[in-house]
Amino acid sequence: MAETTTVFDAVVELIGGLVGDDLDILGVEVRHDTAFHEDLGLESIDLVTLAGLLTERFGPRVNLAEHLAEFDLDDVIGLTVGQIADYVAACLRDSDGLPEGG
Amino acid sequence: MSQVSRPPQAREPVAIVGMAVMLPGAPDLETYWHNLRAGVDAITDVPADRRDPHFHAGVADPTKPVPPDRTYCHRGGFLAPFDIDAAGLGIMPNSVDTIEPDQLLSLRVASMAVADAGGLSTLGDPTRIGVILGRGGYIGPRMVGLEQRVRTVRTVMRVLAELNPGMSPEESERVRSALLDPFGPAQPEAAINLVPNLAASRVANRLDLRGPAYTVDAACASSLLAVDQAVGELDSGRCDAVLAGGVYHGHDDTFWAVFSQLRALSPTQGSRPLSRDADGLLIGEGAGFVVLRRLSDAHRDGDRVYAVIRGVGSASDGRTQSLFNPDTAGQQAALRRAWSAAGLDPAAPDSVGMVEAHSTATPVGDASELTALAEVFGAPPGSSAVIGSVKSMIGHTMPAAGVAGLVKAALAVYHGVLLPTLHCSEPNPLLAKTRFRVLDEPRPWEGAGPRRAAVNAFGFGGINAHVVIEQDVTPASSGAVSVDEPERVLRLAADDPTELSRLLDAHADNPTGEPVGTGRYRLGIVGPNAKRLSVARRVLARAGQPGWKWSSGDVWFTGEPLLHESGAKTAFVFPGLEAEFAPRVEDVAALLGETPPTIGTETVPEHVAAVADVGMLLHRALGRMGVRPDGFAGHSIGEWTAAVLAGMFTGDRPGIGLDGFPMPEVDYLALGCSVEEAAAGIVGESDVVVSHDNAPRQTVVCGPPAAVERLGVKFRAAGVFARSLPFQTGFHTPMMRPFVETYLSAMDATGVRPGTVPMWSATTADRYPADVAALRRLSADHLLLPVRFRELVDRMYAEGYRVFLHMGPGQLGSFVADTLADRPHLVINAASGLRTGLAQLRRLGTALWVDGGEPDLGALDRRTREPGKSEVDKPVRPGITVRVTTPTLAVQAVRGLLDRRVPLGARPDLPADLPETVAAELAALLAETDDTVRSVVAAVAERPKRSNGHRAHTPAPRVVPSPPSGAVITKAPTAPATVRTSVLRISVETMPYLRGHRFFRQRADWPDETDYRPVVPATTLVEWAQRAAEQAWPGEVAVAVRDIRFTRWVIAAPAQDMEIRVDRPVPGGPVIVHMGQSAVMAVDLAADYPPAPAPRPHPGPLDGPVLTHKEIYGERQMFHGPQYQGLTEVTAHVGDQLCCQVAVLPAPGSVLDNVGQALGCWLQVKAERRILAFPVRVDSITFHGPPPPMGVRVDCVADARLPDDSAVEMDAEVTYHGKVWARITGWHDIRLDCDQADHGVYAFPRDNSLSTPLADGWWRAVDRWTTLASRDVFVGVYLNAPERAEYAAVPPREQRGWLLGRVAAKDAVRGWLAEHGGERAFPAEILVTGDGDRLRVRGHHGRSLPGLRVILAPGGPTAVSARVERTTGDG
Repeated sequence: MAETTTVFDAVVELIGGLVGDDLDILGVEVRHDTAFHEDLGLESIDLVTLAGLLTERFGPRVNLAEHLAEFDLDDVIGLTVGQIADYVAACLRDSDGLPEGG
Repeated sequence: MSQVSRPPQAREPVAIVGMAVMLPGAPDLETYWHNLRAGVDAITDVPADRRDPHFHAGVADPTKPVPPDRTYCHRGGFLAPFDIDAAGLGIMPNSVDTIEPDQLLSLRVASMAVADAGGLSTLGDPTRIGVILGRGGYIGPRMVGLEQRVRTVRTVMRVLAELNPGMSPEESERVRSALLDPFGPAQPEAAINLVPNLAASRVANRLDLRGPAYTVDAACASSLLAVDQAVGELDSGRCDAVLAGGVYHGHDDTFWAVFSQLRALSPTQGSRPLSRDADGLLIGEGAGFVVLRRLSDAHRDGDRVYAVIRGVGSASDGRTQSLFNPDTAGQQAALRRAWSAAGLDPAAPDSVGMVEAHSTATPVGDASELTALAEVFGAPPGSSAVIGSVKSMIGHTMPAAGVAGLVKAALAVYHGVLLPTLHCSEPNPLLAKTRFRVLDEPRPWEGAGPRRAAVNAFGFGGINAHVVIEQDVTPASSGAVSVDEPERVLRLAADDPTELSRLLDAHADNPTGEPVGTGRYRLGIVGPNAKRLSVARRVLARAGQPGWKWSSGDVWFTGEPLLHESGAKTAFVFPGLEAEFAPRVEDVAALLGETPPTIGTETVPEHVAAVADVGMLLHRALGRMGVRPDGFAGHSIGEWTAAVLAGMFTGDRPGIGLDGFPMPEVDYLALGCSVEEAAAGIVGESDVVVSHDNAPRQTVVCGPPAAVERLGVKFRAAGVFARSLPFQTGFHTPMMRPFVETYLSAMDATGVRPGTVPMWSATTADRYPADVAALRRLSADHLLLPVRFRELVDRMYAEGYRVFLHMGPGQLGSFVADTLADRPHLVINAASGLRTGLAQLRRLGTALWVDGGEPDLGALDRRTREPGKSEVDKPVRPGITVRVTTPTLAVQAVRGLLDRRVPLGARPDLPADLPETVAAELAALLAETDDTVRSVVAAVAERPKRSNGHRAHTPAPRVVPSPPSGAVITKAPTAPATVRTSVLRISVETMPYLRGHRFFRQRADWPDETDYRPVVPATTLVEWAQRAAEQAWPGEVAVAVRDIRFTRWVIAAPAQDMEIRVDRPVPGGPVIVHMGQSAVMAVDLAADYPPAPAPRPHPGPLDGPVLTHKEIYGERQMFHGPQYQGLTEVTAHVGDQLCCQVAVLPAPGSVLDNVGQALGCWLQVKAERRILAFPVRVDSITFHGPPPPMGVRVDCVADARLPDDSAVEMDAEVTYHGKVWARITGWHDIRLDCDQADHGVYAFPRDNSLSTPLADGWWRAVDRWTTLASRDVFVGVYLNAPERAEYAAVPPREQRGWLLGRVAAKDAVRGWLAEHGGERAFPAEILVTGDGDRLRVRGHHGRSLPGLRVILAPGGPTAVSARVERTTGDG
C-alpha cells in the first residue's frame, strides 16, 4: 500500500509537471479519480509525453503505450490518474527490482 | 428535490425540458418569446387564399343574427404556409398533400420541441416516451376534400339531373369526373391520413416513440388536459418522458360558422381579453408542445429546466345553466385542485407572480373567470400579481390555447420577465376585486422565492383545467456534463488588470450577456459559477505577467488579444476522418431550422458524408454568429469540405469519397511520435508509408494490414503509442494510384475552379493554385501524397494565422496546439462530443471575443429578426410547403360540358367582338371539350400507385408514370454496368395527355389519331430523362439537365416504343440519357437540390400587349390542348424581357413546355415572319427544388433574344412562391417559315388556305418553305394518312411540287364548296388521288363530296395552280 501511495505521489508529481501552474489556478486537487481529459484538460496527444515521462522516471518496464493498446478509445479518453498510478505500481511489483531513482 | 416541502400524496414535480410552438406570427419558440415581450399583434385579415368570398361577403349588421353560411368576422390569427422537411421526417413527399395539415404541423412542432430538449437521445428509452396531444374533433381541409368527393358531388349531380332531364348517363359521368378532377384519383392508401388521432400517432411513428400516443379532446382545455395526463404518466412511472401539447389548425368555415352562430366572435374584429371593451373572440391557430420529464431525472441528466410543474387540476361544471356559459364554481374547483396538488395555498400573498388567463375576450367568459380568480386567490394585503392573455396577440387557438399559455408562462418564469397584454388600456372593472393587474409592457420579475405562475384553460361544455408552474431553483447535480443551460456569458474588458478585477467583482453575479468595458485586458467566462469565478480571480491575479493568457476551465483571459495584432488572421480548419466522431449538433441544426445531419461512421462513405455535413453545418452556424474566416484549411478529406465552401467544387457536399468510390484495403496506424521517428521505424516494411504528419507528437503510417499489425507491436514495444484507425481508405498514399482516375473524373464532371476564399493545401503546405490545370494536378496529389498538416500549420502561422477554429469535434485542434506549442495562438473546437453544440459554440464565441474577435453570441440564444415577421429561416434542405387550401369542385370544367346546349350567340364566355371565324373555332374547341376533359380525367386516373398522392397542390407532379408506366428497366446484357435501358410505350392511349399536344387540328370527331400528329413535348422528354436517372440511381435527385439536344419529334400515333438509355460512366458523375433517337442530354444527380439563388428582379415596363389565356389558346397562338394550356398570362417588357404566369398542370413537362410557349407568344408579338418555333436545344436547366405542386401558379421571367431570322433564344427563371425553382440557360428554338397569314392556316386550317384564289376558279399554291421542317408542318396540316404515305413514296426532289399540287387541289375544292354553299372542310377531309395533272377528290372519313375532279397547272417554277371540274359521278 505504501508503495502504491509513493507511486501515486510520483505520478501526481509528473502530471503536475505536465499540466504546470494550471492545476493551482483551476483549483484541481489531483486525486485517484481525477480524469486526464475532463478534469485536467489534457488531450490524448499529451499521453505521449506522459508515457515518456513515466518511462524516464520508472524505467522501460512501464510502457503506457503497450498498456493502453488494450483499452477502448473511450476508456483512454476517460483515463484517470489512479488508473495510471495503479498500472505503474503493478509494473513495479511484477518486476523484481526497485524503480530507478525510487 | 424541490425546496418547498410537498405533501406525501403530492405528485413528483415534473420538469418542462423542451418547448416549441408554431403560432400566428411565431414560427418558432424564439420568435414567440420575442413577440410576447415586444407585444406583437399577429392578428390579420383572413388571408386571400383561405377566404371564401361568399362566406366572408359580410353582413349588413353584425349585431344581428347571421345565416349559417356567412360570418360577420373577417380577422383572426393565421399561420403562414409552412415547410416541412418531408425527407428528414420520413414522409413521402408525394403524400404530403393527402395528410391533414394539423398532423404535419404537430409532427413538425413535436420535432422542434424534442430538438429544443436536446434531442431524442437525451430523453432516455424511447419505449417509455409518450405523446399526448390536445386536438378537437374539428374538420380539417383534407376531410373537407373527402366530404366533397363523397357527398357534395353526389348532391350536385342530383341537382344537375333534376335541372337537365335529358342528360345521358355518359354525360353525367363526364360531368362527375370533371367536377372531381381537382381532387385527383381516389387514393385508398391515403385514407389513413385523414384519421384524426394520427396527429399524435404520427409523432410517435416518425420519432419511433413506443409509449402511449393519443389525442384528447376537451375543447379549449385540451392542451392542459394533455399535460394533466402526461404528468400522471410520469408520476406513475409508466413513462419517462412525455410530449404534451395541443393543435388547432385549418380554420374551416364550418368552425367559424359555429362561432358566428354562437355570436362568440368579435363584431368589431378585435381581440381584447381582460379589457372593459371585450366584445368577443378572434380565432387563432397553431400548435405547441412541451417535453416533460420527472424533475429528478432532468436534474440527474443536467437538462435545462424551463419550469417545474407543481400541480395540475381539472374539473367539470357538472349540471349548470347552460353548456355554453362558463361556470365559476367549476373553474374554482379546477384551480383549487391544482394548488392542492402543488401543496400550496393560492390565497397566500406571494403565492403567484403571474396568471395566464383563459380570457378569450367574451364578456361572459371574462367575467366568470375573473370572479373565479378573485375567489381562489383573493386580494390579501401586499399581494400583487400580473394577469395576461396571449389571445390579445394571436387570438384564441382553441385546443392549442392551453399550451400557448403554458409556454408563455414557462418562458416568463424561466427568463424572469412579466409580460404585457395588448388592447387593454381600460381593464375589465372586475380586475379591481383581484390581486391582478395587466401590463402594457414587459417588466423584470422581481421578488423573493421561486417565480411561480399559473395557467387557465377552460373549454365549452364546462371542462376546466389549471396548471401551477414555478422556477427550478434546485441546483443541478454536479458533474453533469450535458448541461444544456443557455448559460450566461460574462465578458469584461479593461485597460488594466486592476480595472478588470473591479469589473469582475461588479458583474460576477449578474452577467448581462453583453461585453462590459473596453480595453486590451479581456476576460470571458461561460456559465460563471463560483468555481469558474474563482478560477478567473486566480487568473487575474497573474494578469500583470507579460504574455500571460489563459484558456481552460471555461475561462479565457488575455492582455494581448491575438486579433488586435495587425495582419492577424482566422482560419477555419475542417477535419477529416478520426477514430471517434460523435459531435452533438442537434441543437445547432435546430437553431438554424435544419434537420440534424446523420452521424454515421459504420462505412467510409457515411463517415465522409457525416464529417462534411457537420463541418458545413458549423460553418453556417459561425456565419450566423458573424464569424468569418480569412482562409480555409482542411485535414485530409476535410479539404474537400473546405473546397465546397470555397466554391472550388460544386454541390452542397463533396461528391467524392462516397458510395461507389473505390479504395484500397490498407490500414492506418496512428503513432505517438514525430514524423522522423515514424519514418525510421517503418524502414523494414517496404509496403508501408507515412501518410500523415499531423503534429510533433502524432504521425500516421499506412500499409497492408499484416505489415501494419507487425509495426504496431514493434512501436508499442518501443514505448510508442500505436493504434490502428477503424477505417480503410488509403487516401494520401501511393496505394490510391489505381483508383485516382475515378475521383478525378467525378471532379471533372462538376468542375474544379479556383475558390473564393484563400484555401490552404496540406499536400503542398501552401496556398492552392489559381490555375485550373494545377488545381486538377493537386487534387490528384492530395490523394497520393502525404498530409503535411504540421508543416501547413507552421506555414499558416508564418502567414499571420493566429486563430484556428476547428470545424468539428475531435483531436485535430490538439494537432494545431501541439505544433504551435508556446507560440501565441487560439485553437478551439466548434463542436464537441461532451457538451451540446450550442454550448460549445458559446465557448468558441467567448474565446474568440477575448482574443479580439466580435462574434455575435446572442445569435445562439435567439433568432434575430424584425418584429412580426413570420418567415422561418429557410432550411437548407428545401421543404415541402403545407397549405390548408382545400380543392373545390371544378365548376369551371363542367361549364363547357353542359353549356353545349346553349346557342352560340348566348355563350357567356365569348366576347361579342370576336371575329366570326374565331368564334366558330372556339365553338369547335368547346365541342371538343368533352373529349379533352375525358383525356385529362383519364390521364389523372392513369397515375400509377407508385406516384400516388398527386393531385391539386401536390408537391411533385410526377403525375405521369414517370418513366414511365410500363417501362421495364433492365440492364442491357451487353451494356457496361453503368448503363440501364428501358423501353417506353408512347401512345395516346397510355398517355392521354398527349392529346393536348397535337400539332394539327382536325374535325372534332376525326377518327384517325395520326392526322392530329400528337407528339411528346420536348420538355416531357427532359422530365422523363430526369425521372429515369433518379430511378436508376435511387436516393439522388436530378438537379440539373445540361446539353440537351432535340433531334426529332417523338410521335405518339401510331404508337411506338422508345428506348430510354441512361449511362453514368463515372460514379457520382453526370448521367447521359438518350431518349431513343430523339433527344440526348446529361442529367446531374445529387443528394439534394442546391439552394435557390436570389430571384431576378421583375422586369421593367410593359412593351406590347398583355396576352391572356383566352388569347393565347382561344385564338390558337399556341396549338396546345387543355392538358398543356397552363399559360394564364404572357407579357412583354422593355429590354426584350418577358414574363408569364403558368398554372401547373398534371402532364409531365408541362411547366417548362409552357415556358417554351411563352417564348413562342413573345416571338409572335415581336416578329412578322418565321413565327412558328420549336425547341432544338437547351444549354442547361438547373433545379432548386422538387417540381412545384400541381394546381399552383409559378412565375417566369425570361430574357429573350432574336439572334437571327432562324432562331429565338431565352434564358429564363421559374419561381414558385418567390423562390427560384428552375433556371434555364440557353434555350434555343428554331423558327420555321410561317408568317402571320400562314400561321392562320396552321391554327385554323378549316377556315384558311395557303393557296390564293385567282380568276376563273383557279387556286395557286406557292412554295414558301426554305427548310424541310417548315414544309413538314404543312404536310401535316394538309395531308391525311393515305396521302402522307403517298408523299413519302415520292422521290424527294419531286416532293415539293407534288405537295403544292395537293395543297392547291384541296384549296380549290374547299373554295368550290364554299362557293356552292357547302360546309367548310378541313384539308384532311378531302382525299386527293391520282397522278399527273388530273386528280380525283373524294370525301374522307365521313365527309361527303359531290363528284369532283381537279386539274393542275404549273404556276411557275415554285407554284402550282388547281381548278375544280364537276365530274359526272365517275369519281
